[in-house]
Amino acid sequence: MRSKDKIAYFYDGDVGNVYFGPSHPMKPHRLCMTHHLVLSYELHNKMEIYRPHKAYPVELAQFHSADYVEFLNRITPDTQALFSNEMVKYNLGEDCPVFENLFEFCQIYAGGTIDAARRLNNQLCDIAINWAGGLHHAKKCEASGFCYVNDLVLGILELLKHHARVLYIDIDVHHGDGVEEAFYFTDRVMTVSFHKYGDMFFPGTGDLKDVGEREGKFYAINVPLKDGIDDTSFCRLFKLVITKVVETYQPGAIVLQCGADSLAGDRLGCFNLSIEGHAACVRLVKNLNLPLLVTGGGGYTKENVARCWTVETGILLDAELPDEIPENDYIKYFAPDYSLKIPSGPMENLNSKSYLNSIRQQVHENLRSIQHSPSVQLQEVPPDFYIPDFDEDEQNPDERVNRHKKDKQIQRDDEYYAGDNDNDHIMDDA
Amino acid sequence: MANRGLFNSGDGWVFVLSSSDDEYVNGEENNGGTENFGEQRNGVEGGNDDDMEMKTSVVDEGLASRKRKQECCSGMLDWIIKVAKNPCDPTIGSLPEVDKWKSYGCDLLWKQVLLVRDTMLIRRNANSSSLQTNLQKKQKMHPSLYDDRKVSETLRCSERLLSAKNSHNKSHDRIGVESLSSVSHSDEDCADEQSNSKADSVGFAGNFHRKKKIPLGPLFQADVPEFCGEAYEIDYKWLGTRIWPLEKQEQNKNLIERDPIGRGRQESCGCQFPRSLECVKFHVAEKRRKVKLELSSAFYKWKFNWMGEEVALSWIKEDENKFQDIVKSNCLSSEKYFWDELFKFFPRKDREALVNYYYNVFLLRRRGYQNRKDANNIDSDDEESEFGPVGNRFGRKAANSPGSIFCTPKKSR
Repeated sequence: MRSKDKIAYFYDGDVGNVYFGPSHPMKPHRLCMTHHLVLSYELHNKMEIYRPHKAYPVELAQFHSADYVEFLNRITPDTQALFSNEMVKYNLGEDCPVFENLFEFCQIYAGGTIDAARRLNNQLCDIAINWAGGLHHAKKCEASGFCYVNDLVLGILELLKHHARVLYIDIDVHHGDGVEEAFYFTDRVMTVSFHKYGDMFFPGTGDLKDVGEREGKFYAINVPLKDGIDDTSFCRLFKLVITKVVETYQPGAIVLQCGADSLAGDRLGCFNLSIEGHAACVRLVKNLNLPLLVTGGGGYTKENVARCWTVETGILLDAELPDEIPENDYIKYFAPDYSLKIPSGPMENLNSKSYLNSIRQQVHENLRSIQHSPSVQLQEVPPDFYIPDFDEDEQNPDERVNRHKKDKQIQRDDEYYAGDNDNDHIMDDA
Repeated sequence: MANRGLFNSGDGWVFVLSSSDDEYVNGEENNGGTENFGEQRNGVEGGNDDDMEMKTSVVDEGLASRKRKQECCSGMLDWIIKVAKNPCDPTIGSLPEVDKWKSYGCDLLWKQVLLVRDTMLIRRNANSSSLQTNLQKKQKMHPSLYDDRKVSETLRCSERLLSAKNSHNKSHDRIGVESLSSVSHSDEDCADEQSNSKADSVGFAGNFHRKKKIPLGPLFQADVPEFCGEAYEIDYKWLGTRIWPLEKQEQNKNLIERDPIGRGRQESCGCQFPRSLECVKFHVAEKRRKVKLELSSAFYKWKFNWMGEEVALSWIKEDENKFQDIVKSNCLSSEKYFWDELFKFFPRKDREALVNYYYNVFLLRRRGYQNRKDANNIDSDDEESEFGPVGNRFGRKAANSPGSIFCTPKKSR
């Protein structure tokens, strides 16, 4: 078992009172609730907590266009009426309203991710957390989906100064389009996004067939999912895809966007994951033992966001938290059970096993097409994931199957294990 | 002359909404209907005074026909609403198989729903294709598509209600989900075919999807330099300012009893009335005191002094009452929004202070009230129902452009 990881956690007290506007679902107050809950569980005593520097415009312009950054810096709610053309050009005003202290908010959350990347580069920590970051929709020249500055792209660009290859994983219910688009042409970043796709769900990209272009071809992976995916299906697919990706791509560092809108009961989301399932993905990535940058993202039911990211902070710290939430100023938000568990309603999982299998097959097929470095041989990948006509999840992998069944089913022997460190119960469930 | 409206369905049917019969008529009868309509129109184009009369009567009939169309539609609407409210109602019944739909008449409400949806989809396609380029970049969803009350939402409604209805039994045919499977999300197809069919088809189920393209070019992609080896100059600037653990000189010399890491809420306490309001208040206050002692300067740097109901201590009672009154009296008004009023009434308080009070005192107290009233049926994010229509940002217009991330249907818990 590897020695305990050193964690750097970033938080700025000014985010709690950032307000997008009445009825806007993005509520930075959730960050304040998360931080409060993290402290209630005494987790601050297991890590170092930093206040990030506020990212300078020149740092934001490492990715974004200078005129867009300048506009974000200058525009205020009172003057926006005078700049209607620019507001349209930069996609501001509706999903991405202009509010007081907007630019400062961007500087804080971007600064957090950039500082996190720098600490990792300097090997001052093994894992760095910035729950305020993860705003993955922002584009080079425009805002999108409540995101103004893409802190993930900036953080990845920072990591690329020290690592040849960076892996980006996104478990927000929305496609990580901003990050994918930014790195669509390069093989130095592999982007993997698990998201709802179809029914004109925002943002509309994220098709399985979008794999990247030019040097970046096959370095973008999209896992399009339907409504109602549950823990078992999601975690299994996540594990199979990510372990294969890491094995093939061998990144130097990983950036993990943990959007909590993929949880059941989210105001904008449509998946049926419990916090356990969501957190199991975080645990799996942590157990890969690579430098890891963890950010927040979506999440529009604020008490569930606080629960989720607190549990995940615990996981990153190897601290298993009891469900009973300790007394704290926001305890009322966690009624009626005052528990870390969230209720998941009966929701039909529209993702059939054959659908998920076909996605997996395609992803593996795409991965076979890349060879990340000449010194590592392309591994022989046996044919796997034959579409079964029985319920795979009810099978016991330890049970001997007869010849007839075996012919129908081809599975790798080590499918259910990801090396020594896998003690993940959900992943092993079969 | 009967008042008629023409609807063009995707598979070549022209059907006519007849006011007198209150039903859709299909197939051969359309020719008759179409001709009548044609004649009516031709009649209008001739003459003078006769024209005026004709025009007036046509206009009147037009208005009347719209009204009657509404009456016809209202029967269908009522049915949709009924089904949406209780999809498991046994009186609703189930659909026949997809390939048999054409043999059913338009007197059946479910058939009407399908036809209307299909028609609207054709219209939407016709409109969207001309705006393709613009839309590709700024594809947005219209929020009304998720409003359960309107006719134009039959698409979404029927998908949802039918998928909810058929959670266990795959043998029932389903409008939304089944057609989804057969057209664009076929479970049996491999993923390649699936996205191909999705790209261009407009299925009867209507889950059409024009694939959104990823923009390429210097305005979109990041500049990623070549990796030049691991020579990386360690840069100690801008790594964040450490707030915790405290610096040595600041570390607390006093004895503090720390709770163990990862400790949850205790089952029992020594209070006279455990779990009462007073008990909870006491333990929350006690915890806060401990945290303050332990965190020292970090408590203020993290703005813990701005968290929780203690924030109310810095407000006078009169101001608190004013705040409450303003929010409550503006909650149902569509014209005024309470934030505008709050700013007016509290010119000396800055925005941050008002927002802070709102989240830490007002909402918390409201949540406490909800907890006591009906703990299992709470949505603490549900500001809209109490505080006015959706999407107002400090008095500005609601988001109503299509493709907004903001516009997704509200989930029931």
